[in-house]
Parts: sequence; structure tokens; C-alpha cells
Amino acid sequence: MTEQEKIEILQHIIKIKSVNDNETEVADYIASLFAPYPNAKVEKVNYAPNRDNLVVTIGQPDRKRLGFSGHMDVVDPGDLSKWTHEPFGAEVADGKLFGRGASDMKTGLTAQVIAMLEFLESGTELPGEIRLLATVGEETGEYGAATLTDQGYADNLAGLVISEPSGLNEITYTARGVIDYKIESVGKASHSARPEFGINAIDNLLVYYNEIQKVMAPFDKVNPILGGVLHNVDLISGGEQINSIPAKAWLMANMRTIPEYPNQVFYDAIEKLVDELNQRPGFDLKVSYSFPEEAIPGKPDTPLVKLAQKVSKEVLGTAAKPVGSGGANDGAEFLRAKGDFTSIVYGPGSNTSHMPDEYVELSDFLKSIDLYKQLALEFLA
Amino acid sequence: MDQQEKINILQRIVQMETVNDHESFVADYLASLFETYPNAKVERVRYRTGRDNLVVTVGTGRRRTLGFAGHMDVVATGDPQKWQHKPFSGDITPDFKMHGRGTSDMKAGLAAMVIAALELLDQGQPKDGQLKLIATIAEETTMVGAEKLTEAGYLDDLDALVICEGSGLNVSYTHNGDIDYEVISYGKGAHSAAPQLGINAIENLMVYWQTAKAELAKFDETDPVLGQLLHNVTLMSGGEQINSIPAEAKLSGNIRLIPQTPARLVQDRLEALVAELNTRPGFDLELNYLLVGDALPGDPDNSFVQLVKRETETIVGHDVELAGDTGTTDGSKFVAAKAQFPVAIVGPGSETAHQVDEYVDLNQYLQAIELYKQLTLEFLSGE
Repeated sequence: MTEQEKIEILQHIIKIKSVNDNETEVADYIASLFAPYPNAKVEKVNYAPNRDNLVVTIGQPDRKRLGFSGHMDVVDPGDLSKWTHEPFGAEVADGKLFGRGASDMKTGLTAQVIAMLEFLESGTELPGEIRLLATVGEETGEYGAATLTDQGYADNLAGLVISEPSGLNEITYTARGVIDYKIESVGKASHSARPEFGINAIDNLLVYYNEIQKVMAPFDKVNPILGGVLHNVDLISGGEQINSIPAKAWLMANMRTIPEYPNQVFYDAIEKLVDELNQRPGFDLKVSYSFPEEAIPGKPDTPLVKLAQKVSKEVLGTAAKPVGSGGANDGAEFLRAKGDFTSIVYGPGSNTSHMPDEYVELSDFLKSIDLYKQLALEFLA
Repeated sequence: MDQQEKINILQRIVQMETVNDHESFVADYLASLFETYPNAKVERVRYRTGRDNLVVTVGTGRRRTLGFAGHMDVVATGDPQKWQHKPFSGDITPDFKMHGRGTSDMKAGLAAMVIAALELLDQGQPKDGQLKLIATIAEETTMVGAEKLTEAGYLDDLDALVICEGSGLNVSYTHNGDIDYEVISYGKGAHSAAPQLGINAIENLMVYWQTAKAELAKFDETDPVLGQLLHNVTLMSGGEQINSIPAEAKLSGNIRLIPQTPARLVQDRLEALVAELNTRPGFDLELNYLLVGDALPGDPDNSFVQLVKRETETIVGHDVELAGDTGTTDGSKFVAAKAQFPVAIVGPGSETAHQVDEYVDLNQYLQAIELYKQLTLEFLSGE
């Protein structure tokens, strides 16, 4: 495949608006690229209308199986006036390709797709299998990865390379987990001149706010790579009218967990506090969670990490550095699959993920294709 | 007017959804009731489209003028699912109660003062003095209706004023003042996985909340009638998305003042507190006032107040104690009128104002009409 052809495939994928939806269009396009190769097994795994995951398997079964994975959804472009390039224009300037998803993470996904296509094109005899797991809904809850894991598509992997934009000079081998949760406080409305007839839902919610800080404080273990546990209240809302005692209020908090603590200890701590507070007169608090993810422990010296380092030195000249990631990724779901394997994040990108004028260096894109090919060949050998 | 017609008028205005807006529906309807009385002077005082205050003056001579005031807006219903009767149905139950948002606060009082005037007109009254009905907009939010009418001089010819708020036909002569304010906290957005790069606006706002609660609790003087200053945080919002450190957050608070704590004194304290917090690293708080109204002082021995007490006792058939009203009324703005006049607050209503299943006892409503008529005749004929 020529460089120009590779760039055109990437541009095609960037131009598809898959903002937290519509991943099927990406899946169909990628599937069409494999259509000329009957040896490639292509499966669409539906999550919701217009939201299909895509699984493509090539190579020899019953040997080692390496997973490639990337997500097909992108976040909203946000304020369009802050973009100097069309968010879905896939414009190329100064060796950079601009657009939503250029970094996070259609470039990494495309590079893995092209690596597989080139094996097929050249008729390379793979010493094992490569399975691409292209997912939906990563940005809003990793539910595509959850669906694929539940249905067994991630079973029996020997290793997994997620092409999220770590940058080609870094390999993420460990990642924080996430707990997003909501506390709803129900009170009783009354005129604010007669607070004694009501129950102030905001007051009770803020008692939770104060107490949870104390509850979280003892979880003070620090992961040498990821740091400590993070707990932030990021959203808050309550009340109906300024002169009415509020009947309802809620807050949402985002926790970033570390491998030292399974998420369950935090659920237990939160629920214990909620139960305790609900013993107090007038308190009516309720907790709910949305798409929590466990931390990915990982070690910096596993064979897959070492191999990725070796290959990066061969292809780029310098070995990529093993690091931790503050954000969660689909790996947290895939690691629930049957079989013991290492998951790493290694992919092209820039520090413009989720920002206006998101871009990727085209040279990184092209180099990453070679990296994935080399990595697959050596890993399966 | 027969009883059914009186109830129909109330039901009709309860069915008008004047939630912090659209008071013109009520104003137009009330004005239409006076159409057949050429001697009634009907004035609409527009605030903006859909929001007309209404002033109706009846009677002759300028010997004495008695004002009756009521507001036409109502507060939001909250969750309509929680109501046993639809909030704007005006349903009447066999126990002779009418249900709906505004029945108690305060469309029953408003309708009663209008019907009292209509019945007096039917009797060729008042002959010796004037009765002035003042129906306002926006009492529940900014009191801008009362403020504009006061500024325009509509209160200047009053010798006394009855505010027809739903007091359960108890009488009060003094009430709390009110400060509605908001505090906006500005932080700095960042990915929630890297909170050290941002400033959590909610966190800083919570520090304000705790400090302000403690600070305002120091205003611990007690008015023998009105009790203590009250401070409640009633609205709060903040943040952009779950995985971003919030760059902005806001809360709104409501402070009920007593005559011993003038609004200015409390404002000074809040401003000093915000200034102090803003010296701390990362804090950027902004304080805005949405409404400021002083407490209404009053004298229980005032002759008008005493008259209202006597007439109310006659109507309800038992002793009535003079009290203070914890809720503010348009009186906070009316007291800025050029004329000094005593104010009494008495009207039909229950303790369900601003709550679900708000209702008014229709017997009380009918009693209030009689009370307002009697009061008018007594006051205008008095010395």
C-alpha cells in the first residue's frame, strides 16, 4: 500500500462523524477494506442501533493470538469557533492531519487495520493470529469492550495492544481505574421562611460532601507510577427556586483508583457513609454508579512491554519508556476475559485529545504501522 | 354575588399558570370584573409584555384611602407527580377546600379583596373615601412589581394598607426582610485524571458555604416576634462534565432579615467574607444580589392594626393574636413610599404555601371577603 493510500484511509475514517454514536459507519468501512481477503474473518457485534463493534481475525488459529484494539467513537468537537480546521475535514497541513479523533484515536486504530491489511496484501504467513477488536462507546463508558468481553471475543488472548495515543515514545502498562458515581439527596420543599416545615436537600448533600472527604482520606496508598487515589466532585445541582427549601439535589463525583485498591472497597466505603447518614433525621441519600472500571495493575517488565520497547528501538531508534496512565481504557474490560494476558497501550497521537484542532503527525501514523507489524511478527513468533 | 360565583372567580384565577410570569392573564381577568362599574378606575402598569400590575381605585372623596395588596404570581409546582390534585386544577374536595398552586399564596387573598370591592360597589360603597386595590407581579422573585408601583407613586395616597397574604386569617403587622444572593465560584478546568492542573470551583464554593453558614449564624439576635435571622442555601449548580475538574460553580442563598439586622449590615458581612476567601490561593468568588428588601417594622398598638385585629376577631369568632410574618411580602418595597402608613397582613390560607398539595379552606376565603368589606367601611368612616 502506498503512503498516499494509507493517508486516504485515515482521512476517510476521520471524516465519519462517530461522536458517541454512529460507530457502525466506521465498522462498515473497515469491514469493506477486508472484503477482498476471504481469509480474514470479519464479525460485527451489535451493541445498540447504529453502534456495531467490529472483530477481524487473521492468521493461523490454534497458536498464539495477539489482540489489537481501538475505539471507533470520538468525543464531541465542542465549541466549533475554537477550531481553525474543520473537525471532520481531515485537513492535512505541515505534515499534520487535523480533526476530531486524529489523536484519540482513529489514527492508532487505522494503523492497526493497515498493518493487518498489509500482511494480507503481501501474503505474509503469520506464525499465529491477530484479532482486531474495534469498539463502540469507549469515551462514555467502555461498553463496546464490555460487550465483546461478555461474548468471549477477548478470550484466550496472549497479549493485547491498545492503540490509544500514548505517543510513540511511551508505553502505558498500567492505568487508573474509574468510578463515576452520583449521590441524590431528597428533602422536602417548603417556603424558605419556614424551613422547619421542609428538609433542605442541599444541606444534607453538603454533609455528604464534607464527610466523604474524611472517608476517603485513609485510602492513602500511593502507586509509584500512578500516584494516589483521586476523588473529585465534578458536578453538582440542586434546588427549585431561591425562596423554596430545596426538595432535591445531587452531585456527581469522579474517582481515579489505583491497583492497590479494588474498586469494591470504595463502593463499600461510599455505601457505608450513605447508610450512616440516612440514619440521621431527614436524610434520604441514594448512590448510583455509571460504568466503573477497575485499575489495570501491569508490570513494567512483562515480555510484551519489553518486546514493544525492543521493536520501538528497532523502528524509531530509541526505546519507548514504560509509563502509567491517569485515564482508564478498554483494557480494563478486556482483562475480565478468560485467559491471563498483558494489556499495553501504545499508539500514535499528540497532547490534543479532546481539544480543538486535535491532530496527529502523519510521520507518527506511518511509523506506527511498521511498529504494529514488527510487534505482531515478533510476538507471535 | 352568590357563593358559587365567588368560588368560580377564585377557581378561574388559580387555573391561570402564573408561575413567575404571565400575570397579565390574571390582571386582564380581574380588570374585566370591573368593566360594568364605570366609577372604578382601572390602571394597568406594565413591567413587560405579559407582566402587568393592576391598580383599581373605587369610591369617592379623598378623605381616607385604604389599600389592599396582593400578588398575582405563584411559585413553581415542583414535581407535579407528587400532587394529589393537579397543581392548576383548582379542584374542590368535599371538605370544602380548593387545591392548587397559589390557592394559599395568594390567589385566595387576591380574589377576596377584588370581590370585596365588587360587592361594595354593588352596595354603592364606599361613599366616603377610597379603596385602592393593588395587584402585583413578581412578588415571589424580585418584588419588582411592588418596587415599580412604589416608585411611580401609587402608594403615596394611602392612609393604611392591608396585604392579603395567606395568613390563615391571623393578623401580622411586621415581617422579615429578605436578601437573595448568588455566589459564583470560578476555578480552572482540567482533566479529572490530572486535578493538580486545575482548580475545583465546587470545592471552593463548598468552603464558602461552610464559612458563610458559620458567619451568618453569629447574627443571633432574636426579635420577640420574628425570631432569628435565617440563612438557607436553596439553589446550587456547578461543573461541566463528569471527567473534568469544574471551572465554574454557583449557589444561591436566601436570608430572612429581622428589623434588628438591616440588609446593609448583613451585606457588609457577606462582602467581607468573600473578600477574605478571595485572598486564599485559587479562590475566585463573585457575590451578586438578586433581591434586597428590609424587614417591615411595625407597632402592635397602632390604631389601624388594632382595628384589623378587632374586625378579624368579629369575623372568625375568636381572639386573634397580633403576630409577625416570617415570610416577606411586597410590604418590603411599599415601605419605601413617600407616605408613612401602617400595614396589616391578613388573608385566607393554609401552611401549604410553596409545598405540594397547596390548598385553601373555602370557608376562610369567604370570611376574608366579609372581613375586607367590613374593614373598608370601618376604616373609611373612622377618624
